Amino acid sequence: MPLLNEFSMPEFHIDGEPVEFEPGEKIISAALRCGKVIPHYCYHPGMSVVATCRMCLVDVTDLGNGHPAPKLQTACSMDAAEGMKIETLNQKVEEGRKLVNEFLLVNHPLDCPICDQSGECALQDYAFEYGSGKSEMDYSKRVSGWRDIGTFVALERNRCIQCSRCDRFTREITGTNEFGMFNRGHELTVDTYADRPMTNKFQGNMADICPVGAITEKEFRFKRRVWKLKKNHSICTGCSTGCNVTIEHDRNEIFRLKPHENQSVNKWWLCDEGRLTYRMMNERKTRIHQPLGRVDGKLEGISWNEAYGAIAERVSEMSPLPQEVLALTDTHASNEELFLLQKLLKDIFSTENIFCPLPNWEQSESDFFINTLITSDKTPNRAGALALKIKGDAKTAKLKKAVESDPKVVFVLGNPFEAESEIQEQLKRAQLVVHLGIFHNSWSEIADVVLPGQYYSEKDGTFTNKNQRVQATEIAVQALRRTRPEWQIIAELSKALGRENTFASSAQVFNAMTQEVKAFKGLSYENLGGLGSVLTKKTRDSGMKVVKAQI
Amino acid sequence: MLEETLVLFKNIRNTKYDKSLAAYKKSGGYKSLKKVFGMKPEDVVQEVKESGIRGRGGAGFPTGLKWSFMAKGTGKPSYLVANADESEPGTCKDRELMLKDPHLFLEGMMIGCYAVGCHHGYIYVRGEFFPSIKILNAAVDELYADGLLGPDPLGSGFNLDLTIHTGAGAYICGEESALLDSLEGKRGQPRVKPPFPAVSGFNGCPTSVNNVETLACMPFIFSEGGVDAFKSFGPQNNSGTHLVSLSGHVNRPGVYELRMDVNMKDIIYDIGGGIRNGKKLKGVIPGGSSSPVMKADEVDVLYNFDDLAKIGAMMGSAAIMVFDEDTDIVKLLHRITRFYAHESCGQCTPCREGTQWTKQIVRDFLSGNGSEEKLKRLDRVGGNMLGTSLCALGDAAAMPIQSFVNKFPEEFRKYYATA
Amino acid sequence: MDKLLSRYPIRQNALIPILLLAQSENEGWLTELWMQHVADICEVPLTHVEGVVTFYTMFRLKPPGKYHLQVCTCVPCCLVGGTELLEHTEKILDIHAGHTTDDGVFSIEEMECIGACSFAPAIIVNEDYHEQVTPEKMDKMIDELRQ
Repeated sequence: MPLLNEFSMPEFHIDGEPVEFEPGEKIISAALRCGKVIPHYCYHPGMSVVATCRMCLVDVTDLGNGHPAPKLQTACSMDAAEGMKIETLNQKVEEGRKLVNEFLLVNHPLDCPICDQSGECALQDYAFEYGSGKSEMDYSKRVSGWRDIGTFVALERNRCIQCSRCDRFTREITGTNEFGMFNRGHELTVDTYADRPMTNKFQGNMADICPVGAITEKEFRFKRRVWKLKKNHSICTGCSTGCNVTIEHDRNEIFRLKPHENQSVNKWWLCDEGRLTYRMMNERKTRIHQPLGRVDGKLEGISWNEAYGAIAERVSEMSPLPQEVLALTDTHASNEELFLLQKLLKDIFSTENIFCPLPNWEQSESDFFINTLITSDKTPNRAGALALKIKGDAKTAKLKKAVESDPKVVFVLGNPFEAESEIQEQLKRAQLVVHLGIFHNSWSEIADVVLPGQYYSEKDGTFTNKNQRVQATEIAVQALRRTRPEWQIIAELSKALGRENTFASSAQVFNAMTQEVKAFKGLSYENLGGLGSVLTKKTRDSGMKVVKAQI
Repeated sequence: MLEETLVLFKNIRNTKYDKSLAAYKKSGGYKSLKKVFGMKPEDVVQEVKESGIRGRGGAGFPTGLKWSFMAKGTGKPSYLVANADESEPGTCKDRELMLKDPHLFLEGMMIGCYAVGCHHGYIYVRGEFFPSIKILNAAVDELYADGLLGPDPLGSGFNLDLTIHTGAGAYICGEESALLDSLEGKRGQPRVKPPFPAVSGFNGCPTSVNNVETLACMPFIFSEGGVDAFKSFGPQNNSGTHLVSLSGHVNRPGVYELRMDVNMKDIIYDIGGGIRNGKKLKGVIPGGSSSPVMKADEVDVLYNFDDLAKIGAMMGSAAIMVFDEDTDIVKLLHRITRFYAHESCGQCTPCREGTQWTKQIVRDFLSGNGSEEKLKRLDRVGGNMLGTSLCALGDAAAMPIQSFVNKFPEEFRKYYATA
Repeated sequence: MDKLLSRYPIRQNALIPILLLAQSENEGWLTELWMQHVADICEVPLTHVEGVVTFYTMFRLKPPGKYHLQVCTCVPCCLVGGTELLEHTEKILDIHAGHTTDDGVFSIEEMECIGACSFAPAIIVNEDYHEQVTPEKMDKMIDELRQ
């Protein structure tokens, strides 16, 4: 046996091309990693191998010992071996896939025209590729009907191809065991027993991993054909985990969020609560549509220049002392927005009077990874605020003092301290309250000037998750015409107040932040890529408490 | 007149034998075990290899080789599981052994346990075998009372427990990995291999699964001169006597112990007394319902693993089902396809869909809806199950279908020619 | 039952024998309550038990008759009259296989191979094998059981 260079991985050949693999890796995993197409249904990298769909058949022409395998092998169950030769495209393989696909279709209803999976259905894709287009099955098909099996998903059992991914999901991923395999042979069903509803908080994933249209999201049923959807990579802002998502939208309306694989954050998963955050992205009723200014005690629409002009005029009239300026923000804001707001206070007003709510929160601990995805901190950027050293809470003495010392100028970003009415009461008396926000709330009611920002799906920015990983969102849909991203608003405001800066994109803001803020040193926007980067110097979060996950 | 060769049935054919421990001991029982306890386990395995015994469950895999594959030094316990889930249609030999001479099998089981280093052996008996379960349990109780089971039997220092485990009705649990899943308390669905049971079997520990008859041969193999005598009972690579379950349209159906160099024709016409009611032979299913069918003119062949394999048949579990000239081949095949459709576990695609579909096609012929096209389709769909399913049940379902269609096409044609 | 559990390395291993035990305790069939009970004993989820119960043919989810006639019609029995025996039994009891007589005395089940092929046709009545059963023998047996 030749000695392997200790830095080189062992190799085998797929269709004549060398492919590296890790010892113990399955053929399919190595093949998919290097972009080979091996059709499969039951194999999922996150779950155990059952090798039951039989679709991933490959021809092993050399087992690594000079001998071929006697028959076609399933790529999901066979370990790759040094010197092995695999063919995935020859006629034998083609015929094997054809016959497996034929078997899968004999009892499939072929109701693609009314199936939501249509367009992203593995069965449909492979049937197109390997199907004959004509069925020789002339008996009535197996019928078992539609089932309401949970809060988030529905089961159309006729479409099921018994790949058992959903069964393995509730056993191996969530540990909730709601699904099972029942009966046997032709009668085999994979579902919840006697239509018992599911209770786990991750049902949407079952729709994702279902290779056919058997399990679909109720929320998305009959809403839009999937091929019409455009996709953008983003971050779920439903909590501080920062699961990677794909925002799927059409004609500027968002239809669903799907998890985007990131092994360092959410693996392949996303919770149902996170999926539902798409609703807020489409919210229009409570959105602030244009800049507003208070005229005779009433908020009225004004232009951006009027808004900036009014603020600059009032500030120069007052020329407030540092302790008379206060900024409050929530931790829904991106790193760039927090950084610029902090910078504005420092550069223009020479103050560090910036506070955000930092309530204690709970991190779940569990034998099942997926349960650790849900945190009680429902804001996406608490760790970013901590890294920027923005401090404070409703109860801290510093904030109390700042609020009670009757500040003259108050900037509010988002909806901080919404439950602390005494803070709002106190700040009502300030001479100038500027609210930067997306939705109308109690702050916009007391504000003198309201500057409309944009929602996550409409702007780009970075967020720091609970594990100090900085990740970027993408612009998915077009924002309302008269709104602007908050980083731009703060930059323009800074200019109006006399300190010109030249940020033309949030990327530029981020890169400036990496220069000025210690915690972000060494990062760069360009290098965040799809997976994000971890802060080199981690900040300690004393508000975190680890608790046992409730299933 | 062809005679039985009595090794396994030595006691059973003795009408005075009462299958008790005392009677078994009187006939020389548990002497081999004592001899084995004096040997090193690896020598025991070596001796089994030399005897040339091949598994009697159907696949005919060399038993000694199987035992030598057992993973060693894993730090986990090793297990020996006896496969008494006899459910291949036509096969009823293990039931005879368990009902009528349980101690022969149990002694073999204990020898096997010693060979593979198993301190707790399990006997997986199919649930429908109520009488066998009772008898085995009683025999095991006798052994515990006698001190042959439990701590330090025969002063060997080798602690040994045996447990009778009952199945609950599933043909597929005769497949070794499905049997292990069932033994673990799960649905009996065959596992992906590798890992093979010898590496990761019962509860993830090294396990060997052996047929009852295979284990019952052990006392003889380890008797005085046993290995040589065992080898002399058949041609090379087909050593030993074996139990042949003869059923169907013969005058004397039954379980017979025969050498492996006996002609199948003689089994049917001599041992079995020929076809009943003076009819003519139409064909036989030579090794359980999973084996390809043979026509009457093919039965002049030595009944053993290799000679049958040479002509494209298989001995399987040595169950010969004989059918006469009046038998409706299509009805027979329909019954076989019904069996596989009922017994498929359903987890893998070709078997789940194929067994049902072929059943439906065969039924079409019976209901007068056959056609040449459907005959071709039956052959094609059957063939598609072959070699593509996860375990051997898909192959087992496919082989009879293809052989029936290819050997008796005129029988199918009769159905739609007259329709 | 504790004796059963003590024979296995982990409690789950004893699931099938314990389910059979539970079934015989409950007059030959299982209810969800019993399944839950067994699930608790064996420390497995209820769905696992339900999966197991629906997999094996010997577990029943509805009550059988006092005498459960299990007639084998698999290949060897079918060759020598098993199917006719089943049809005969269905006719005299006036029920189909899979059903129980109105008085709850008899139920019929069509069996796949019960491993008595050389003594075909064979049937199992509750736990007892009867071999080479003819329709006449069946009539007699049913009459005797009725007494």
